[in-house]
Amino acid sequence: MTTWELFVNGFSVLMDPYTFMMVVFAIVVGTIFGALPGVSATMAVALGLPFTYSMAPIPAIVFLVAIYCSSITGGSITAILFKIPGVPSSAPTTFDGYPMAQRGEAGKALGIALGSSAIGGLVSALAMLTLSPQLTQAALSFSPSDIFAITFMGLSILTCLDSKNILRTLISGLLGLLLACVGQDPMYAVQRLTFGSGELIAGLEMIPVLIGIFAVTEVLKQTKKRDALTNENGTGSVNTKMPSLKEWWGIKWLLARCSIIGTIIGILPGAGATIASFLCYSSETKLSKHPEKFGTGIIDGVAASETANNAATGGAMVPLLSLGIPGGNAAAVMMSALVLKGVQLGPLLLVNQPQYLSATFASMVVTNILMVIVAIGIAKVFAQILAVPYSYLGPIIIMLAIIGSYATNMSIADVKIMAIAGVIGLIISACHFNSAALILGLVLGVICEGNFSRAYTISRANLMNMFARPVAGTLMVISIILLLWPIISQIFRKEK
Amino acid sequence: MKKFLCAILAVLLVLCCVSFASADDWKFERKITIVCPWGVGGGADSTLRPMATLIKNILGQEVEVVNVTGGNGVTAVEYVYKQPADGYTFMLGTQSLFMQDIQGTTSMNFKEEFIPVARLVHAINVITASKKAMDKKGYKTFSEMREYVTNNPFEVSVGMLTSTGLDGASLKQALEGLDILDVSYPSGSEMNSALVGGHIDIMVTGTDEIEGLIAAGDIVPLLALCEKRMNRYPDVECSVELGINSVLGPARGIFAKKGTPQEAIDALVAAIEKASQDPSWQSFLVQGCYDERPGFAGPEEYAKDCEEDYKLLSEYLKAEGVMKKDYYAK
Repeated sequence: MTTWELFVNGFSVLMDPYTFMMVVFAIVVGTIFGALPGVSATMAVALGLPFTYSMAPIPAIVFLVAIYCSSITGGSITAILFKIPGVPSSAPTTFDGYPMAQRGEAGKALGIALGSSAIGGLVSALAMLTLSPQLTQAALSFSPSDIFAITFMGLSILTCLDSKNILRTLISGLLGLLLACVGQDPMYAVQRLTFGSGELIAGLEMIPVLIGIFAVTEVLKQTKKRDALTNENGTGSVNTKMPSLKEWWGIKWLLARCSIIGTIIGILPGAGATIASFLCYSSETKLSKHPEKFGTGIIDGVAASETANNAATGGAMVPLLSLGIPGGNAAAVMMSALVLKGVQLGPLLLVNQPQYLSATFASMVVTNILMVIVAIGIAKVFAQILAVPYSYLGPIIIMLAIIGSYATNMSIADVKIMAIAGVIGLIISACHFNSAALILGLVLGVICEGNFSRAYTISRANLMNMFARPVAGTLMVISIILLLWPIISQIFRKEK
Repeated sequence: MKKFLCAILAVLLVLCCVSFASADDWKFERKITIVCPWGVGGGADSTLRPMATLIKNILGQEVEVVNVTGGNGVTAVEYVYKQPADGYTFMLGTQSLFMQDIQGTTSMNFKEEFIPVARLVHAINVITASKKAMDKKGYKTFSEMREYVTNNPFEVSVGMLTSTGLDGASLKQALEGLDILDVSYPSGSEMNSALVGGHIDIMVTGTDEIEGLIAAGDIVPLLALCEKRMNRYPDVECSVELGINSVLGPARGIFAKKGTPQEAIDALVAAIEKASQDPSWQSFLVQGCYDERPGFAGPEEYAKDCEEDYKLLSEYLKAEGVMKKDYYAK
């Protein structure tokens, strides 16, 4: 099939009224699930599974893809309005989205988040349709040492995250790495930092930590402000002023970069949307002309995170369709839906039945466009909550945070972790440490350590061999320069 | 007369109670929950869900699958242990839970606090090789690979999910005495793509997830860890014919907390046995490569198998130096 035939074939699947209706339903449900804290994109797709039991395999995958893409987008709504990342991959969206909403620019922040989500999703869908074989080969060629080098580069940005507070940022990042070590070690299952507690064996669950550090800390901070509690009118309704075309034009290269990086990260099994959004946020901090403004509420930060996490959705579908290997947890759920229907996944699927690729593409295109409209509607409903006085809103957020943390594993231990994370978040901000750096260390630490151990074993404990590969070697050199940049630049300045 | 009537009524009531308590008359009156210790979409979950649907149709009661993940299954064990043993909460289990128990990660003795109810499937583990790596290193069969490792120690890397898990145990048995590099992966998908990409040389896995990759020739099965050659891959050697004592494969079954009414267990076993005959379950078994070994086993047979596995895995974990609970201490 030519690309054009694939294109036509894909949209013909969606022309079926029943399938189209189900896609619209999936977008609404997916966005709401995404916006609810504690319901991750994977859980949203899993909740959609029962609906597919009566569907044919192709409409089933079309339906699940729509839920997947829209839930990743939905996560940005609560991240911006309440500083609660609805899905873990929206955590970096809170860094700039929430300060914007606080300034009364919630409409602009949401507009950027939804628009850049759509752009990221569309670019990756197009890449999936046209470059699947090449992308698959690229994904397969990434060895553990390459993946380690990519994540290490993400970590090396730590020294550039807050140029006025390098030492504190670095300490926060290292603290995050330490927290990533909690639980069984990735190679030999040795227990570390569990203090004999069975609840910590699996390591720290990401969702409760994120909810604690962002949402709970924020509520605790607000309760210290007297006027926040006595204000009977709440923070007011959402200013619906949308971003201007000029603002969009200003971030065009950022959108292009994050779409590409997001797609590539999405392809790598074990990485996924969360890693993509963190890596893009941190790399854009470095590439920006005004890095000091990141975290204070600028559109660049929101766009970087949201473009990347939606671009990762298309990326995650590539290995699933072309190899039968899911690129992330949500893709793994879709895989089980297809397997239950008797579809034999693997490299022969796209050779024998290319309509799977074309239908997935069509679903992603339609979802990414329609979800902007649906999400704006849902965001307006959520924004009404902002009109509630904070003395009521605060407890509501805490309640949502508890439910969201508990729902992840139905474990009260996760609620305790969330509460502790909330207090730690408060201490961190009171001492001017950097909670973004801590989360960056925690998110990247797990994948970084696992891949380091694997690469080190495969290269028979030889570091030089480990980085002898072109990708790994180049990235490591760049990372080391980035890490030492503050010191190097100071030396240069002194010489001048 | 009144006294007589009262006596008759009392006797009738007692009879009613007795007859309600008999196995045939146990009726599930509300939703049954089956806890799956692993994530949605994984092998365990994909086995449990179709079975839950079939049981639901037979019993006429909602059967809900709840995924309680984390801690290599321990979180789910602890969760079910806290639920009342009233016949409405069961859990899915495999030998991985036994291994956690032996390693002392569960707060209670799983072996003593949980009862095997019925086995659903018994899969075969297969040692598979990366086509890319095979071409580079020049071996084509398991025996040739063994020879290659003997001549080139620590040149072959082996992917597994955890060395203290079932995959690790069956692999170590099969490759005993060979100098290989163990590489642990957190998920099957990462390991599969590393194998296809040629970053690791061989791995151990069930064949259900990689059938497509085998059909395309990217992954080559080398050795089936079972008693006789698999019908699906008749050219692939099996461990017993090579004199290798390794036939461990994941057996997924239902467990109940100790104290669960025997009538409820019997009623569930009857439903599972009936569901196992269903054509849709039979076709699921074929599709998932679960048809090579007998799947369903009732409580007695399953308990016997569990006991054997416990013994075998205790020995293995003792040798690995990670045994905390010795159920067979003399």
